[in-house]
Parts: sequence; C-alpha cells; structure tokens
Amino acid sequence: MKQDEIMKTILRAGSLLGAVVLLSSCASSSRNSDTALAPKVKPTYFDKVTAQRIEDWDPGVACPLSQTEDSKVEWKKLANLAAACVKIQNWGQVEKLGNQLSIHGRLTPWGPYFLALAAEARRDFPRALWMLELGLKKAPREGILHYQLGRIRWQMGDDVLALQSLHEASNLNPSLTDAHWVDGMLALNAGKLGEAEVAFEKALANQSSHWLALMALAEVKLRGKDFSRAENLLQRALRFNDRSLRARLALAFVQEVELKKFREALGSYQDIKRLSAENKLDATLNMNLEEKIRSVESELAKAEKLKISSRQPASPEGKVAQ
Amino acid sequence: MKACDFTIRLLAIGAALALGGSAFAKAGSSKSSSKAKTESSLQELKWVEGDERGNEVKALKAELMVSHAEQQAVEQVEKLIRKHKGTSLEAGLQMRLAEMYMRTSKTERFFEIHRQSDTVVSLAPLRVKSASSKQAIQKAIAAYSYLEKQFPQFHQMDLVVFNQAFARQVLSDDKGAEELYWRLIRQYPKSVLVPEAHLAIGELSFDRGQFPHALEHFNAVKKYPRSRVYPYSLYKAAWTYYNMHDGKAAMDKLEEVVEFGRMVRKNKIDARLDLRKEALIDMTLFYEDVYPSKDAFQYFRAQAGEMDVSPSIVRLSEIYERHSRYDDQRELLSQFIEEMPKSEILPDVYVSLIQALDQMKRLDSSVVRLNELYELCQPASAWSRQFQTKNGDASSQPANCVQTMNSTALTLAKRWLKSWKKTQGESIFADSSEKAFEIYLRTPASTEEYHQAHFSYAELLFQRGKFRPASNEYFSVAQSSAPANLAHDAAYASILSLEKAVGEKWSDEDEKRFHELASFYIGKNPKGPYRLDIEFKMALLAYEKSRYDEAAPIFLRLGREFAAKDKGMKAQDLYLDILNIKKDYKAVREYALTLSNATPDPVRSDKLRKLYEGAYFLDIQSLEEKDDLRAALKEYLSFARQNPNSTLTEKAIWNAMQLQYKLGDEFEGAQTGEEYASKFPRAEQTINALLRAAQTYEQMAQVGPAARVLSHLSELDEKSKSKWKELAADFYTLDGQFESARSLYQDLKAGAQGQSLVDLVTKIEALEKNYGTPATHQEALRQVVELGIQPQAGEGKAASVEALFENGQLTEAFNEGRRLLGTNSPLNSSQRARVRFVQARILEQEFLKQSVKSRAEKAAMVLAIKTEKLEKAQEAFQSAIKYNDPRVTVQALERLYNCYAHYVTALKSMPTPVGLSVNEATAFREELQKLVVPLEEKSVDTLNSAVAFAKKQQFLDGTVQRLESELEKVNMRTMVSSAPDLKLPGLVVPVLNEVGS
Repeated sequence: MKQDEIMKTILRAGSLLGAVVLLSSCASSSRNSDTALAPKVKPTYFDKVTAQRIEDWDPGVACPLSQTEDSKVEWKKLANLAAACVKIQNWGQVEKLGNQLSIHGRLTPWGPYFLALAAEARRDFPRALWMLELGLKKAPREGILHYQLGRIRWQMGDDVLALQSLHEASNLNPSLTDAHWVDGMLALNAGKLGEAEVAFEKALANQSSHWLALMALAEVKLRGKDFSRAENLLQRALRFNDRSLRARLALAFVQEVELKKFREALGSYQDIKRLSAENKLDATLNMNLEEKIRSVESELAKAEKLKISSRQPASPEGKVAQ
Repeated sequence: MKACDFTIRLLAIGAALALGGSAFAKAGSSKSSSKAKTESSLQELKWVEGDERGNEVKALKAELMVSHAEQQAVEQVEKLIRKHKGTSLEAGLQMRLAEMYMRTSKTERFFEIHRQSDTVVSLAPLRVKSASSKQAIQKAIAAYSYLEKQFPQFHQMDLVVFNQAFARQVLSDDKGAEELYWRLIRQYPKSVLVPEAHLAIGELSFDRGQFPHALEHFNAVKKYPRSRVYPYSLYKAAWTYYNMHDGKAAMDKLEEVVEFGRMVRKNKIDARLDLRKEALIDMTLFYEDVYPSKDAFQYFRAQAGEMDVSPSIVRLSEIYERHSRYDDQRELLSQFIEEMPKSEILPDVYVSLIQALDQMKRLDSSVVRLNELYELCQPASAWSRQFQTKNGDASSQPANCVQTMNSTALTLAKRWLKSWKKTQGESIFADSSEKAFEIYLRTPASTEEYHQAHFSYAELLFQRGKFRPASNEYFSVAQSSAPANLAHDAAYASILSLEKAVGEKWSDEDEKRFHELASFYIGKNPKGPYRLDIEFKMALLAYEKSRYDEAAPIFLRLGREFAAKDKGMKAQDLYLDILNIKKDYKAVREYALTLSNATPDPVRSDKLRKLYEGAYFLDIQSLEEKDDLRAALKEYLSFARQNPNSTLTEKAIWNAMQLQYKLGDEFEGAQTGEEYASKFPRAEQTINALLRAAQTYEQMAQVGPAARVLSHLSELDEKSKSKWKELAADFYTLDGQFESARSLYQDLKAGAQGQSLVDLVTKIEALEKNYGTPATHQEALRQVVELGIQPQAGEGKAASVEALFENGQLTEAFNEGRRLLGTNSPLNSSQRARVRFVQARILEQEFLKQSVKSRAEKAAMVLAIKTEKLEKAQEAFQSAIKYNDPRVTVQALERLYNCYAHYVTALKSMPTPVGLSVNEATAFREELQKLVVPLEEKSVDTLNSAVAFAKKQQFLDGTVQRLESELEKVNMRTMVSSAPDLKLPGLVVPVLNEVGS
C-alpha cells in the first residue's frame, strides 16, 4: 500500500474538523459561545512569503539551545528560530518550536510546516503529510506547503503526486527556485524545451547561481542548437561548481564539436585532465582523455593551418581583423 | 399592752402607794420627798411611743412596783387582820383583803401574759414563773367565803356575794357564779346590785345560747330604768331577739335604746347611758332582714336624728356588700349621694357605689359614677369648695378625694383590664378599663404607680388595636419621669405602636413621627436593647422608599454591630440587597464573603457563600458587558479556582473557555474545555467543550492533546463512543503514541464487524507497517489476509511471495505465485504483475545459472536448454509487463535487457566445443555470431524501450539515469549532456520578514 493511501485511511475519519465545527456551532447557545472565531480582518500571514533554500539562507539568529518558554514571542520570530534550527538540523528544537508556533501562530501554516520538516527528518512521512495537510487548510495557496508536500511524496515514492505538488508549488510561489527547476526538468524530459526554458529562467531569476538550472538550461540550449548560449551557460555553471565533470565535459564538447573552438576545447579538456589528476572533480572520468586531447590538438593544428592560409591583409591600424 | 391599760396600771400603783403610804406613814422620811419620788418614778415609767422593748421594760418595772406595792398592801392588811382578829374590824379588813387579791390577780395576769416575752422573762424570770392570777382570785373567793361565813351580818354582804359571784365568773365557774347572782336577787332584792345580777345571769345564759332565759333576765332589768345597766339590758335584749330570729323585735328594742339615748341626752343624764351610737350601728345589721333598702336612708336619717347618719349608711352599705346585695347597696348609696351631696364621706360613698356597680357588672354605670367622682374631686366642685377656708386654703378633703378617686379608678381599670384579658373579647371590660385609666390619668402625677398606669393604659390601647393613640400614650410615658425601665419600654412601645398603626404604607408624616420617636429612644437609650430594631426600621423605611444612600450606612453598621442577632443578619442581607440594586457586585461579593467567613452558622455561611458567588459571577458578567473581556476571563478563571464547589463554577469555566476562544487564546480555551469536562463530566455542555477542544488542538497540530481529548470524549459520549475512540487512536498514531493507538484499535476491533472491522484491521496494518516491527506487521497482514480485505490482502499475498523469493525459497515462491495467479485470482493487476515478476525473476535465475560449456556433440543441446530458459524468463517478464504496472514494467524490461545481454555475452564467450576442427570451429563461431547479432539488437532495443518507458513514467528514483547510463555503455559512446540528474529538490524555509502579523 502506498503511503498516501495509508494516510487516506488514517484520515478517512478526518471529518472530525467538520463534525466538530458543526457541533460547536450547535452548542453556541450561551451568550459567549456564538462569536465567530474567524478574524475580522483578512490575515496577511501568507502574503509576501518567500522561500529560501536552506543551504543558501542566513537566518540571522541562532537556534536556541532550549525551547523558549516565553509565550509572548511573536510568531514570526518563532518561525525564524525554527528555521535557524532547521539550518543546523536540530530537529528536536524544530519540533518544539514548530509546536509552539502551532499554538501561538495558530492562524498561520508555519507551525505545522516546521513540524512536517521535523517529521520528515525522522522519516515519519504520515505525520509529515498530516501536518502539511493541516497547513494547507490554513493556507491552501501557499506554494511552500505544496513544495514540501511534493518533497514528502517524492520520498514516499509517490512520484506522480510529488510532481503534481511541485508543479503546483512552482505556479503558486515564484520564489521556489527548486520547484521551477524540477518543473523545467520534467518539461525537458518530455522534450518540451520552451516550457523547460521558462521554468529554468524562473529558477535563475530567483538565483542566478542555481547550478542545476544553469546546467539544465544549457541542455535546453544544446538541444535547441543554441550552442553559444549553451557554452555561456556552462561557463557560468562552472563558476558556481568548478568540480562538475559533467559541466566541463559538456563545455568541452560544445566547444570542440559544435562551435569548433578547438583551442578553448583543448583548454577545457586539459583542465579536466589536470583536475582529474588533482582529484578535484565530482565524478570519475570514463573516457580516454589523452586520446581526446590529441584528437583536439590535431584538429586545432588543422584549423591553425587553415587559418594561416586564409590570412587577410592587415588593417591600417595594423590589427588583425576578427 | 395598750397605752390606756398601762396608764390604768400606773394609777393602780399610785393607789397602792397611797395605800401603802397611809399604812406606813412612818416608814417614809417625809411626805414631800415621797411624792417627789413617786413623781420621779412615774416619770421614768412614762410610755414612749415606738420604743416597744423599752416600753415593755417600763411596763415590767411598773408591774413589779405595783406587785411590790400590792404585796406590801396585802401583808399590811393581813397584819391588821391578825391584829384585829375576831373584832368587828376584821370583816372590813377581810373585805379589803379580798379586793386586794382581786387587784393582785390583775398583776399576776400581767406576768402570766408575758411568759412568752423574752424581755420580761429575762428581767424577772422567777416572778414570771411564779405568777398565778387564778391563785389570787381563788384567794379572793376564799376571803369572800370566809367573810360570808364568819360575818353573815356584814352590812355589805350583797356586795360580798356579788363580788364572789363575779370572781367565780372570772374563774369560769359559771354555775357557782349564777347561784351567787341568784342568791343576791333572792336574799337581797332591794340591793342596787340586783339589775347587775340579772344582767350577769342574762349574759351567762346568752353566752350559753339560752336566749329565752337570757331575755327574761334582760327584760327583768326594765324594772330598773334608773339602773346604769338599763340601756345595756335593752341593747342586749335586742341582740337576744335577733338571735332568736325576731328581727323586728330586735329592731324595736334598738329603737328603744335610741329613744332612751335621746332621753338621756335631752335630760343630760350620764352620757355613758346613751347607747344610740351602738344601737344605730347594730340596727344596720338587723335592718337588712327587716326593711327594704329603698327606705333605708330615710329610716336611718330619722333614727339618727341630730346625729350623723353617715356611719349607719356606711355600715349598712358594708353589710349589703358583705352579703352581696349590691343592688340594695347601690340603692342605698345612690340615695345617700342624692340626699347628702356635701357629705364629707361622699367620695367613699361613690367608691362603694362604683364598686357595687362593678360587682353588678354594670361597668358603664360604674364608669359614669367614676367620672362623677372625678368631677366631685375637682377644686371647682361645690363639694370641694365647702372645704375651702376663708383665706382660700384648701383642706385635705379634696386632695383625699382625688386620691380616693384615683385609687378607685386605677383599681377598677386594672381589674377590668384583667377581666378583659381573661375573657378575651368582652369589650365592655376593655371599654370600661380604658375610660377608668383615662379618668385616672386626668390627674397628672409623677409617681411610679401613675407611670405604670399610664403604661398599662397605652398597653390596653395597643392591645385593642388603637395603635396610634397607644403610640402617643407610650411616648408620654417615655417622656415622663417614669422609672428608667418603664420609660425605656414605653419609648420602644411608642415606636412599635406607630409601626402597627401605619401598617405597610408609610406616609412622609408618619415617617417623620417615626424618626422623632426613634431619635428619642436612641437618645435616651444609646445602648437600649431595641436600638437595633429601631435603627433597622429607620433604615428599612428609607430602603422601602428607595432612599438607599440613607439606608445603606445604617444597615452596614447594624450588620457589623449586631452580627449575631437576627436583625443584624437581616441588616446584612438588606445591605447586600442595596448593593445588588446598585449593581455594585464587587461590593456585594466582598461583603458577602466577609460575612460568610465570619458567621458561625453553617447554613447562613453557605447561603452567603452562594450570594458571594452569585455576585462575583454578576460582577464578571458586567465586565463582559463592558467588553472588558480580558478582565472577565481572568475573573472567571479566578472564580473557578477560588470556588471549586460552587454551582456557578461550571458556568464560570464554560464562559472562560468561550472568552478564550473569542479572544483568540485557542489553546488555553481548549485546555479550559478539558478542565471543564474533567470537573463536570455529566454537564450538558461537556461533550461540546471536548469537541471544541479536540477541534482546537487539531487545528493547532496538537495531536497528542487531541488524542487525549477524544479518548475522554469516547468515555462520555456513549452514542459516538466508537467514533471518538477511533479518532483518538488515529491521533495517537500521529503523535507517536503507538501503544495507546494499538490498545484503542484492538479494543475497537474486539467489538467491530463488517466494514468497521475491515477499516480497523486496515488501520492496524498501516500502523504496523509504518511504525511496528516486521513481526507485528506480519501479524497485521495475516489478519488482513484472513479477512480478505482488498487490496490489502492481495498486497499481503504479493508481498509474501516477494518475501519467499528474497529468502531464497524459490520453489515455494514460484508455486505460491502460480496459485495466486490462477483462476479467480484475488489479486489486482498490479499485484499480479508483482507476483508474475517474481516468477520471472526465478526463471531468470534459472536461465542465468544455465551454463553453456559443453562438448561438441552436446553443444546444440546446451544452447537449446539455455535458449529455452531464456524464452521462459522472457515470456514471464513479458507476461508481467502485460499487467501494466509501471514499476514492474520498467524492471521487467531492464531484466529482459539483462537476459538478452547475458545471452549475447554467454554466446560470445562460449568456449569452442572440444573436438572441433579449425574450420568447424570457425563455422561454429560464425553460427554463433549469427545468433548474437539479432539478440544484441534486441537487447539494445529492450534497453531503449526501458529508457523510453522510464522517461515517460517520470520515475524520480534515478531509474532513467541508470538506464541511460547503461544505454551509453551498450552503444559504446559517451553521451554529452549537461542535463543534471533529477533529484529531490532541496529543503526550503519561509522568509517572513515582509509578512504581515
């Protein structure tokens, strides 16, 4: 049985909320019981929420060593503290702060959200899912919640639903860089290069250093025969992850094969050789690089010869025309 | 001893002394000195009024002196008798001696009488002891007898006989006395003592009740009208008639006495013979039997003549009264009043008349007469004026009249009052008593009696329901100089009467009067016992007229000062009421609590406690009404904490909970809801409170508390018990309290059936799968399968086949797979795919294990076997693919590719069978190559299909990347792609800096 089915089973009796609301309203006969619980002013708990990848985020506060007992702590501060604990993976504190936030920021979805993160950390996916469902009841259109839901479903092997949630997340919250990236990857795998490019651009708009997006967009460009743009993207990608063998090979390939920029390609291959020798690459090279270098050198030589034979007179300034 | 007797005795001494003096003339030094001594002695013996003991001593001294003198005189006479014995002088001396003895008997009698006197006995014990009057008289009788015997011719023999008779009469020798009296009458008929002798015999007979005999002797005296005893004999004859029941004769005799008296007076004879006064008095006694009362006054006025008739009338009135002949008395006295309006005794007559009327129950007439008496006693009345002297001074008569009138009025007033009380309802008594009191009180006085009467009068008015006049009279008493206690009671009663007079509705005028009376009482009796009642009433009046500011401080003070008294407590209650009216619940609450703690009465304490609680509650509600909800919440909680046993605590906790929800303190609201349910499990709202708490906890992701609440709810809500229990188990699961969850699920399962049972077993299986051990999960699965719950049962069966395979029980796995895939398979297509895939894996293993090494002659067979196994595995994988389970499909394709690749590799690496020539070997290799090429293509195609299928399915577990990588290897080329592998996107946190709060 799949995890979401388990949850569905568990939550099948989840008419509790509705039942209680109904009964509660029935019981509102006394003078004080009939006050609407809903806030009079539309809350703004969800507006302008941006998502930040945890590895890129500087919380600005330290994760507290123990749970704060101050019930008057403002809910946003609690959320920041919880995030700081997420940053250092102090899941016990995340759980406690998430719990506190659930109480003191009861109208916001962030308490259940952090509780879901803590549950995820201990791979208690049913609980994580329940918490996210609860969060979504409070903020159905908050992309971060859909995003996390997608992540949980991903880990539960519920691929289809995971991707649906991530796609929804991408649509709902522009700041969800990774969601855009996954969305783009799905489009790319489906050969929908236009959609993929849009998604990757969204990711890069959020974070220009998003290596995966740069790489994926480069692939889009490669498949779209826009090799110069691909070369550019790969070069940018390398600036953010110079250990990536895939990026270096792709760059070298584009320069060598598609752009015939043998000198640059040779440089790229030589860089791979050097870095590989220095064990500074993120993967093992499964090709005969020496042969490739020789081949490129050969091609370069041919190209140089051709270049010399077709040299043009110098310009009045004595500079060689480009 | 009376004064007159004493004087007589002194004279006797004097006489004795004089006798002694004559006898013993020589014995005295001189006459003048003796006289002086006698005068001095007499002076010493003079009676002093009021000095009883002294007088007694003086009497004793006198008697001793007399006795001494008499003794001397007797001795002297005896001496003379001895000297003149037998001579003619002896008879006279004997007579003298007898008389001396008679006199001595009187002295002896004195000592006899005083035998009981301590004074006399202590001073002259021997004398007292030896005293004997009888002995002296006997000596006298002896002397008289001796004289009569020895000197029969004594010239005073009639006197000797009479005196002896008298002496014997004294010694109660009536018979001897009567014989001597008779002898005197017979032997000495011309003696002057004959009438006395008749009278004496008459008296003796009268005393013996021999009235006719007595009458003869009394009438015998009639022959001696000049005798001293004549009128007395008439008088006695009248009495004898009376005793003989002949009233008329008696009256006639008395009329004779009266007539004789008039004659005596007219002729100025010895006044002692005028017995009219006695006769008129005694006539009244006989009159009532003889004549009617209506003629009485005129009769007696006629009989009295110039004498005052009043005593007779009074006497007759008394007789009438004594004989209860009140009407006769009334008649008599009425005539007297009419006839003698200026009689000095008129007030007394009025009194008697009033009393007679009273006795006749003619109270109204009695009151009329009483009023007449009052008028009579007034200084201006004709009766009173007659007593005024010329210079205008009043005599005591009118004052006495007033006194008499008042005394009578008061006596009657009291009596009638008593009768009224006794009869309870006969208003005549009350009316008369009231008038009598009123008459009495017309004459102001400052005596205690007057004040008491005034008070009684007020009491009577009060008792008769005449409250307002009663109040005024009481107040008069209170203002008077009456004794403190009476004045106090009157002051209070005046207030009480006013209250009674007013009743329920108090006019401003009445209230003003009440204040006047109350102020008087409090002023005079600052510590009076009714101060509480009065001040209470003052406050109550203000309270009833809604003048709360005026009433409140009084009630407060009374409640404090008289906390132990009923009124004090009532004052406390009313003060509380005022506070309540003013809606000052805070003050009510504080005051009630103070009182509750202070009172020793548990019942009152409880009542006040309830009031305190009620006020406290109202106070909190007023905070709510003012929209000060935070304060109200705090107070509700405080109330519940302070008054855990109050009947309002339930409501307080409920309201606190509601406010918490209203104020957004949802978590606290839920906690309070739990507290409510815990304290009041049977309350009407308990289930709602718990439902709301559960809802709230759920909304706040507090799954543990939600589970706890639902569990509690399941205990209380019998109707939905199972539903709440199951939900509680669900939440326990979410909270990681698996044991609690298991326990509840198992409980529920025990009583469940049908779909409910299926759901529960499914949940238990899910629980054990996610959080249990393999063993517990296996057990859960067993139950699922046992119940045939789909798809879980199928899932379990498929899983069991997979488990057999993983455990290396290939035959069992294959056979179980075959069984499950047979006709009427309970498995769904996905499950069947998985089972079939297991079978394919087993066949794949058999294929892989099949060696291709062989000798030349067996090479074809070996290849055939290997090929056959490939075909079986291929068929199985393809069969699994047909079930359209994506995962199974992609895995089956990958496995197929592996099989093909393995077959190709096996063929390529197949050793050349032993025994083949070079050419044959070459041919063999060429044949094998022919087999390999299509299979290589099929292998790549299969892998391509797998990649394509995987991509289409968008597997996120790296399957696509893995397959693509394999494809690159197979194609012997490096795919240049920058596309990164799809991987789990990174964790994000919300940045909330710009979010509103």
